Amino acid sequence: MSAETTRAANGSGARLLGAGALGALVALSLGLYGNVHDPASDLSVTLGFKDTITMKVWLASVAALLAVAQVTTAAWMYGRLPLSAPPHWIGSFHRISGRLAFLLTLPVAYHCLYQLAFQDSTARVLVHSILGCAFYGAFAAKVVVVRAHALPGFALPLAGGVLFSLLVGVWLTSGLWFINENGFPSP
Amino acid sequence: MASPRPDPLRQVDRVLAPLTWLLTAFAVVVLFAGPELIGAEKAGAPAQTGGAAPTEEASSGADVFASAGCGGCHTLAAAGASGGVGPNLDEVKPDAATVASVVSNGRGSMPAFGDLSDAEVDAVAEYVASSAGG
Repeated sequence: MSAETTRAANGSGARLLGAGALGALVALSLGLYGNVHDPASDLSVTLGFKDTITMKVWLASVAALLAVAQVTTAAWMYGRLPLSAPPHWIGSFHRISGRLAFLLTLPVAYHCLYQLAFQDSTARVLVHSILGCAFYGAFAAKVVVVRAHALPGFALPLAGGVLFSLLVGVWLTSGLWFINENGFPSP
Repeated sequence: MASPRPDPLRQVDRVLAPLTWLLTAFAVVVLFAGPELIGAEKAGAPAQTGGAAPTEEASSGADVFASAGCGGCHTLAAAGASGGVGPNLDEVKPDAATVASVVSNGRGSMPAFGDLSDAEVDAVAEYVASSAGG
């Protein structure tokens, strides 16, 4: 292996490590905030829904659907679906659906962190708290991976797959759990 | 030579990209600055609704109510809580035994608060019952 190849491999490894470190820092920061922040009892965010929990279930569920669209369009762009060549707008659609999914999680996460904080009262709540923090860490890491050049081919699918899995995990331990317990709330 | 096909989604993405970062930064700022930045009222010390002086247990119950995050899900005017997830305690007016049972064992989608001591459960139960008029 030439010196140039070795330098390139070291550089891509360092960028991957940097992305992972940033993600870990973001996740830990959120977990720390949630741990030291006293749960508030003074916030009611509804964004036009009838109450806060309804807003959270709807936004999280739509975000999870958009995440499925993310994986589907990514697989299409990578030629992993038995479909014809992807349309020219697929890249833009992929980016927009990703941004929207992320934006929809913000009011939900804000309410979780500010009003409920990091909790461990049950296994479900603990897992949800951990996955929620990890999701934003994974998002930060994926942004770095998307923008970095000369990374190994597995880096972006891995970052996207982890992000998708975490979002689905967050939804399973909150939105789906609530729907199972109470039915899907009308907006 | 034919011009490239216009991609309206690309234009949307160009607007959405900076908007995403702005809203993310705003969310972080509000996280630290508090909800009054977005117009939500931040409660101060728990309000007194009755003329009687609070008992020591009720005062301790108010602390438990605040620290356990009860107000995140329940409305209780005396605590300045306006949560809309669970029942409105001012309307339900539960008695102390009911509150203690639900807090200890959970009910429906509300989890049991097993990390609270018996004294804390009793305190918050008395506080909610007396504050809500149950």
